[in-house]
Amino acid sequence: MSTLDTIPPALRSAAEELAASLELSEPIALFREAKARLDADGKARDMLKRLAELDSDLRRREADGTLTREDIDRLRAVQREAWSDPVIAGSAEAQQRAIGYLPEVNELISALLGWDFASMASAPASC
Amino acid sequence: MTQIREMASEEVAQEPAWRSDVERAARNLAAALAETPEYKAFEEAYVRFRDDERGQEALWAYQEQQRLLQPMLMLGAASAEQRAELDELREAWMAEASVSQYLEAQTALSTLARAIDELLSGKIGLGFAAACRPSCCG
Repeated sequence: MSTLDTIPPALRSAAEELAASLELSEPIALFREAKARLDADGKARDMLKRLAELDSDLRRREADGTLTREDIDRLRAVQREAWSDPVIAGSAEAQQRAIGYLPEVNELISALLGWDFASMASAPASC
Repeated sequence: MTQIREMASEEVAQEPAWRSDVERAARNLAAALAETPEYKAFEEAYVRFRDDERGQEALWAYQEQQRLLQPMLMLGAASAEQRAELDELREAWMAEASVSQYLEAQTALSTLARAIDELLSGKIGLGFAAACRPSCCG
């Protein structure tokens, strides 16, 4: 049984209504459009993959004490290249805006409930 | 005053439709959640827990000891006796009926809230609850 099947029908319907409204909201719609552009852009995805691999490699080098100034410069150069790409920059900006909007929605839900919905949804299954 | 009222009504008039749609849906979700047995059980358990003097005293004793030991615990310098005492105070607190009922109700409600979060996050392509948690860096 999926976790979603544990939601009573009336509550599930209300949650789906909120999800649909959020999908149509400006910050989320723009984020989804920007994400779709990024997913469709092979060059941008390759650059992000390269950046993630380089970042991971540098963390490993830092841990084993072999990190050099050249490694850091190389990472910064790839970071600069990535952020100058309009698709990547646009996607990051849209994501930040979407993430900035969601707490407003959470605050509204939480104010009516009397406790923080997001914290409750993040709490461990048992204490 | 009239000018302020005019400005306020202009702001309301300019509010995009998507915003009021989301607000209405968020209120509906909160109302539907408040109707669930999990929510009602949590509210009742919270009131019992809040009004339970023994439970509150046990909580205070545990938190006070935890506060005193915090620097030592962070440095890994607390003795075995100190850690054992803290564990005993925690167990004593959790053994109170109102506390265990409260934690049980909280777990049930948390499970439901996580399922809703999973639904919302899956649809919008972003972690809803994760985006709303305060960041570790303030």
